[in-house]
Amino acid sequence: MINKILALVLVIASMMLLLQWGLGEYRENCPVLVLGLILLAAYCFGFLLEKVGLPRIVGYILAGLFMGPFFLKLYTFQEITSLAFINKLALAFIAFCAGGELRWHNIKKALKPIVSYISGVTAAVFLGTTLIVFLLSNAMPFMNDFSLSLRLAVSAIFGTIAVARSPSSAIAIISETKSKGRYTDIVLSVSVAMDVFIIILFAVVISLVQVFIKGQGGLNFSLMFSLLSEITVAFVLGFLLGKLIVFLIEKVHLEFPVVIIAMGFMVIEFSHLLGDYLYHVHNIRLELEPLLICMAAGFTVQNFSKQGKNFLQRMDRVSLPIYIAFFAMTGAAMNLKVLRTGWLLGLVVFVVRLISIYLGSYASGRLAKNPPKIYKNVWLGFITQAGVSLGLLTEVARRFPEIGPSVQTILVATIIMNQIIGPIAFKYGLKKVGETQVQRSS
Amino acid sequence: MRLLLTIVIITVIALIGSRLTFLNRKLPLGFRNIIFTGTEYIFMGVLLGKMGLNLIDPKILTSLEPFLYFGLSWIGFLFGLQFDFKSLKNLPRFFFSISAIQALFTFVIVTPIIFFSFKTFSSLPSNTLLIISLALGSASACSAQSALAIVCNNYRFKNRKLFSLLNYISGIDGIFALIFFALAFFIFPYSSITKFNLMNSLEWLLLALVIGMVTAFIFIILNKTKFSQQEFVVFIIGTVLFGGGLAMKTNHSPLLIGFICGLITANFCRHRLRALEIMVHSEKGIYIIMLVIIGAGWSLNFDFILLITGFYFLSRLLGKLGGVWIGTRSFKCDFHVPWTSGLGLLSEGGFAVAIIISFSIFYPSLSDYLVTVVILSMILNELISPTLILSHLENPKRLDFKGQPDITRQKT
Repeated sequence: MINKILALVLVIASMMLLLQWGLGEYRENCPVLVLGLILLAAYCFGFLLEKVGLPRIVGYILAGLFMGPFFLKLYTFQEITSLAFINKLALAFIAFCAGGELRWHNIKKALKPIVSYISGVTAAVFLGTTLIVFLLSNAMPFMNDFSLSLRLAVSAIFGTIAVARSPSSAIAIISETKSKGRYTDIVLSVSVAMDVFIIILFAVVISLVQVFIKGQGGLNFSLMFSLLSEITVAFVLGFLLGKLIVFLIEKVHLEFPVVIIAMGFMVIEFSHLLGDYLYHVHNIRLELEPLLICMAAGFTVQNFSKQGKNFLQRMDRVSLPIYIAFFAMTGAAMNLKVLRTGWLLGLVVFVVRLISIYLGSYASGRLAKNPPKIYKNVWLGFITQAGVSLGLLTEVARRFPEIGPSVQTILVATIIMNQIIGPIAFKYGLKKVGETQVQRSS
Repeated sequence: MRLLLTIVIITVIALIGSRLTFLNRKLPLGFRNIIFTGTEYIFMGVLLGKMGLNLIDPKILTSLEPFLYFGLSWIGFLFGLQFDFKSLKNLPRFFFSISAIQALFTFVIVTPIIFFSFKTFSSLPSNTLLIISLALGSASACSAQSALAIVCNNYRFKNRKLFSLLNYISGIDGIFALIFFALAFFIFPYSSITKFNLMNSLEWLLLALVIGMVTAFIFIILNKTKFSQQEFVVFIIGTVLFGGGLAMKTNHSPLLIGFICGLITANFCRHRLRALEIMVHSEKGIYIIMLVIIGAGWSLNFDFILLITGFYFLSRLLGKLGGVWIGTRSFKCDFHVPWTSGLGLLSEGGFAVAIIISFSIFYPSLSDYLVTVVILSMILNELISPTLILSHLENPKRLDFKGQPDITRQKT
């Protein structure tokens, strides 16, 4: 432990001295250094937090935050932005792993509770958050001039974003604790399925809100159809990509974690390029969700080939640096200015969301006749929020510049709280149900 | 879009290439040596670069610069890791002295010849000429084991001791090349081409040593407690990135910083071999990507540079022959060393390329000269060195090579 503290101090001190003495003035933007610093310091910090019983990923996030522009100022937002491609690679990698972790025979066994949790928790969180924001709308200056129906519509945006989960955090915690079991399967399956579901829910809510805010359109069925086609195409492409991966594993014997990361990057870039191309050249809107494609590919490898175990094992070998970089950069990109202004309302939304998750999962678990051990603790696995929620918020800001920044201020504060509390709660939940590797082996 | 396509192509080349490079083939020895050293990836880079399809244009090359820092730091660290003094002591001490003499002699021969050649044919200022000649002088001191390995894989070598000596020299002389390389940066620190300033140079040297030692110390203390394989990968990648990044930030050479870090790690870390194993595994891919990048950035001008390449090739040949001859005559070898033994050291290998890439990063305006000379001479050397070794060393009276049927053909 002392060694790790010493390493952490040495890494940070050498960086601080470098900046203090002006030795690093030759280059303003130095992504290689930031990545190295993040990997070493965040690893040590995660290791130290683990010693006090907290999940490592909280350490990675906090390390990224503390070294960033708000505290130690060891790097700038610009440097973090220049490393955005690492985030893309990491997200693609995590999506492949998430898909690979979904074993159909396990899901089949728990299909009823999974469906029950998805519907129950979604309904509870959506209604609970929408209601509390609606009730508090008088306290939000940007809603003062809005009509009741418009307030309800804006509240529904809060409700929708509150529903989103973070499969990446769930995967990272499962990987860290090497957990296995029914509880783990349910949390993971629900988190991944919610990633698909939230896109549909968001589209529906957005098209409704558009009616109230801009007075345009109605429930847009063509939009719904195009969404469903996007999801179907993504699944088909994911299946084909999965088959290609199986072929590469079986026939070509390539260094496949690298191949898969490269593939993920290509999928992300090509999805965006294809979307842009179809829209600008043929006026067709087809925005493929790249992470869905990667998840479907991972799912295909796991469930439609004999390489599932091999696939996950070899992915696991290179997963740690990817998780560290991803979560530390998530922490580094946190905008604490927003937390300063929106923390009170953010806290209210956070608490209401927690209560809604608890009530929704408790009721759903009982209805699905889950053992009490699971339905009393499953809510702990549904708290974390990260990339998807932030992505949806950006979309809100883009579509509704009138309300976007205000909604962002409050919800980013909530997401930051969920990001830090969520992994701690999930690890606690895994320990409580006894599905971590340490508990299974003892 | 272009950057994406470039990344995709380079990744595919590196992945497939790293599997194909070290395979035996039924090709003449020279071509096999070219494939063995991965030289063909330079041509792939040429095809993708400004002399070919222009898919990798200068803008993309600039955006790939961080990778070069990472790659050079990786190569330097890996090279330094091989210098474990305890293991080196197992071989006769005069091997080391002979290596030093031949490297120094080659450097001393090549550097002035290049200086005066450039002075004759170009109008570059003296300081620039000095940098070019020091760069090429240090690159010339390196030699690779590839040609020896190719020959030994296919022919029985009776004079085992001479083979050990040549193998040892080609494995170790990179360290002297790196010292000459450091000397060039010491004279012109922080990519300056101005007048020599001792204080600046000392500051540069001190900082390089401190950065190398700090990164090594971080790596060593991280390894002190029990860790998993995944964690070890984080330590290696993190240290290489941190060292390369510090070099980038402070305008130092990542190759040198990586080497200092690797050298200290090799002698003070219990997990040296474990680190070596992991790093060697990924080295091929990194090296291939660097070759593709260097090929892409290369622009060949058919003027006096071809002539200078000729001078470089000949002076290096002279340096190697003379260096080994002087070295082996200065110490009493208990085995026969023919005067042509230096031909076994002609293969240049990847470390020379790494040195040239390092110079090119800091002196981009000189990049074309340096890259052209080293690439052309490297191709020539890789192509002819196995044949030269065979034709000049085959005679059992002079050097006990005995032609044997190709092992790979026997197997197939």
